[in-house]
Amino acid sequence: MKKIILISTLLFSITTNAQNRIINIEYEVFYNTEKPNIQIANLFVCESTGEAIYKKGPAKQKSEVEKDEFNNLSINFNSKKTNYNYTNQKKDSIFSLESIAGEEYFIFEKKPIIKWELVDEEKLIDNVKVSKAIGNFRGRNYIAWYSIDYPIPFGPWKLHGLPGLIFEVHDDSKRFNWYLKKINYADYSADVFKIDSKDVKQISIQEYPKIKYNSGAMNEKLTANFPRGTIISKEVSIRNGLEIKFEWE
Amino acid sequence: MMNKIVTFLMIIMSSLCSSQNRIKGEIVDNEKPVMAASIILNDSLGKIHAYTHSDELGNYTIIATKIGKFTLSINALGYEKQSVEVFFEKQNTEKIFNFNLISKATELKEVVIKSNRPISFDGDKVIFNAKAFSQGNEQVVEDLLKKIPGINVATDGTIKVGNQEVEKVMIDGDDFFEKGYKILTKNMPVSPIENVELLRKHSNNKLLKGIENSDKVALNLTLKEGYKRQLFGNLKLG
Repeated sequence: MKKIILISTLLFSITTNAQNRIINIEYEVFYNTEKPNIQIANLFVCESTGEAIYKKGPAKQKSEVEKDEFNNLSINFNSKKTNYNYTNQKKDSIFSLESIAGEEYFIFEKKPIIKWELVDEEKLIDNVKVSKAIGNFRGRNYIAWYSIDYPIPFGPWKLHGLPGLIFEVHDDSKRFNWYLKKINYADYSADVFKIDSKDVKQISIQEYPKIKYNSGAMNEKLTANFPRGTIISKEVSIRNGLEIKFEWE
Repeated sequence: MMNKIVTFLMIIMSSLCSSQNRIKGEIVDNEKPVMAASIILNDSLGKIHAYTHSDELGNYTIIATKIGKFTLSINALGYEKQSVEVFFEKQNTEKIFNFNLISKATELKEVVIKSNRPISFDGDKVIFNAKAFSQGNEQVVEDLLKKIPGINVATDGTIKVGNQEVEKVMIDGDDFFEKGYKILTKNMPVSPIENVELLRKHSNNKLLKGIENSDKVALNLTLKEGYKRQLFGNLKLG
């Protein structure tokens, strides 16, 4: 009898470990920016540890300096490390790795709370019923479609807090658009959530806007890539990234 | 006297402010706390009144800003959904509901979404799905183009992408009007339109495509299957 109890407890503990799995949610991200492009991003969630990590897929950059039809110069910097946003629910924080003008930065912030307004509107995406929500985050209004049948409190990038998983979200100017492509499960692996901040400048979120929206000085690395004879007559700092207005501004 | 008035006002104000009914509790799985469970409070009409998530100790608090009948639902990944009826007769009451969640027998399905994207890219082409951008009140093509991000239509009908006027507006790759595209955009109905394609680096001569360093921009309207043959019959001018 004791053997039976022992074996069944062992089996039970093995099967319950299935909860310690990773959910992989893949998004197609449309950047309707000055140089429109699509990228794939993955949101990995571990329910039991309350961790989520959003990793951008490798971006395909062509040449370093490009001139477009309006005579605007764009300079592409290749990122050495994968950009990510790691959210830890227990620690109530988000750690991000982002490359800005060729330099990598490790940014720490307390997990911001987005006050989503749930709208009484539904639609079907394939055969998943999704409901609408509107939220404002750091200067942009986002329209999201989420499903209560997938009660995951995380969303792509930093768009967390809805009662269900986001299947589609975009800002109201349709500049940044996320579309869920697939959901599948994988065995838990600590490597997925390991955050690599070695040899990277560590900054707080308060310092981030100054660095991203370089007000004033053009750094040397940028000007080194300009064609010979370029004269800088006017520097305008336009905020057109994801986060354009911060809580303390 | 002033003190009495102030106290009186404060009593009134505090009772006005806290017309709140509170529900709180703990969500566990056999004594183990369940974090990040989704808690939704629906009112008697089925609309979502409030929502929250459980913290790392499994605790939650949710507020109802009115009295009446509510349904409290708990939904967490890997567990069976649970609901309970909550009835608030008066204001400023607190009820406690604890939940012991049961593991779900079947796992949540893996998903692959195949439906059409509103915006897609194909080389130098940006493809906008007409249905995704229409709101239902468009009559002619010009009305639809105004709703597409990045396309600007002036009052006289001039179509610009950014600062640049489009060279032409084609239909399924055919150009009939060149710079006189306004005849098309101001008269053609929207119903046959499947996609609006924005072509950058456009060359008027197909053979020069990719060779001449063009900065021209053009639009191409693709038609829905059933409308491709009907085109000439339905174009009403003037």
